[in-house]
Amino acid sequence: MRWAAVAALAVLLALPAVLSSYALTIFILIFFYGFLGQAWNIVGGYAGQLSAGHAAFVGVGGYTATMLATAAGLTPWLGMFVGAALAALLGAIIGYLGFRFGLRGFYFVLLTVAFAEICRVAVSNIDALGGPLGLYITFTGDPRQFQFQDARAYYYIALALMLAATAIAWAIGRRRFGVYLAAIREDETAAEACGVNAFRYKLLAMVVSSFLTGLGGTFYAFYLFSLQPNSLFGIPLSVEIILRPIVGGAGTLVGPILGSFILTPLAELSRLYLGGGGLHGAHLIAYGVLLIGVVLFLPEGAYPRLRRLFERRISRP
Amino acid sequence: MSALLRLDGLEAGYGDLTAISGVSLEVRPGEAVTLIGSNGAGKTTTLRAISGLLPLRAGRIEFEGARLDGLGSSQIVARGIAHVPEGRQLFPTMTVRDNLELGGRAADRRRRDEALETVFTLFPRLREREWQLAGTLSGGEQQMCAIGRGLMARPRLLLLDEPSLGLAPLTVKLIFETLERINRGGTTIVLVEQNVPRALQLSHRGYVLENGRIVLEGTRDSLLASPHVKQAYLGR
Repeated sequence: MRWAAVAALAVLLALPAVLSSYALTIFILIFFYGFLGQAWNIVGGYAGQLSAGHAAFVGVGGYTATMLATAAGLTPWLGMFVGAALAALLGAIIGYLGFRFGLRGFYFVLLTVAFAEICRVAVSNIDALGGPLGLYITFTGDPRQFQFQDARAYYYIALALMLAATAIAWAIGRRRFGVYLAAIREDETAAEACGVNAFRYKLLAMVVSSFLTGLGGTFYAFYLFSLQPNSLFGIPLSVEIILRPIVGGAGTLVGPILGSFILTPLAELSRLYLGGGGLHGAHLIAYGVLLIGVVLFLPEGAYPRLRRLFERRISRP
Repeated sequence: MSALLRLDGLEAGYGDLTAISGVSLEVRPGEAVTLIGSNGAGKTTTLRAISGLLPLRAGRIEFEGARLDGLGSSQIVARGIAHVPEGRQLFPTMTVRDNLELGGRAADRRRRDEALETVFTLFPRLREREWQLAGTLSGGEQQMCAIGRGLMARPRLLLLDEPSLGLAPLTVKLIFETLERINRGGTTIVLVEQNVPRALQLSHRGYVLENGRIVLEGTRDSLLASPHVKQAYLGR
């Protein structure tokens, strides 16, 4: 397992040398959504608190870093941490309200969606933030402005983000914090009876998750050079964030990455081959059919199933 | 001697149902105390009220002279009360080790390892099963794991709800012998048990609960000699 991870990392580090620019773009998106999925996984997978409004944190992070760069001249390298801190603050507010008042299951889902929608509508109506048209970033190609002539820089940054989030999730899983989160996910009442302060640990998971997701907002903004409230705060992005860890296996370390390797190319290729012509929306149908298949045949996600197949093969004499 | 735990006029229930009312009792440091009663008498409710899993409707709870009622269950564990619930309530998909770790309160690694070592010394079977999933343990081992999880908090008061439930006689014997060692080691015990002779054998004193009220209290010997206890709970 360890050698497989090292080998995979070596391949990923070497890959940009041989990739076409379109393939490079797909890999950047795989890493970026893998990163967002891993960040979501901390609260949605490990702690089992289904946030369906994680786009709000992307939005807060992206808008903050962009405004700080354009209006105050602060480099996005620092602005991304300011944005992440504000996203974490928003996460703390949502978590406090949800967990203090014991919202579980669907009610927590609705709360997170509602907050993301409030943010979207609010930003759409603030002219200083560009209103519904959003903000555009002038391309300078200056690395100090988080802009690069060479797309390979984005590749390595996205890869680093995904690996960092995975390292954090790994560290959480190995500590008592991870055991507490798993217990809360399995049976919150029983966990409380053991003396686990469920409120505190759920809130902490939410803050870590929203902070990381907020970092992603800066990448999103400075990779695409534009940000619109509908795309940064919208429900579609929240759904994209959740889908990958669920398809790959929520609450597992590999799940969000595997899910992104499955879904991201699929979304891109189906858009490329089915999106045009007279078949508008056909790529969404293909995407939807795949998701139905996952829910039916891999309800725990792809990774737990793969691992069982693998273990059976080695245990066989 | 002043009481470790004092319940005063406790009332609690579920929805429209009042499960216990006017329950007052005292537990002194180092004692083992049994709550006796038939199904639905309010024994489990009393334990749940003490450990903050059920809100009180009236009354007060004092532990080591400080008010306990109104605190959350995790704060109550932090004060030194561990609850081993009826039916064990382990996390079946987590390892024995992780289940035990859940009970540990100490912030630093070394003190948690000490607590773990104490539990493994008391229940050597758990050491053998350390990395096994709790759901794959036998009933007796699960009960050991649940008690071990409670002990990980290094409680001064251990609440036990039906530790012998559904276990083979030999396992029950082993568990009660271990509970006696735990009690002699200085941990105060409040026990709820259907197996009245077994429970009284371990205890210094007991209370009899009927229909949510305490109807009788006394030392082990006086309860064993009481005609009422004999007839209703010992079947003699």
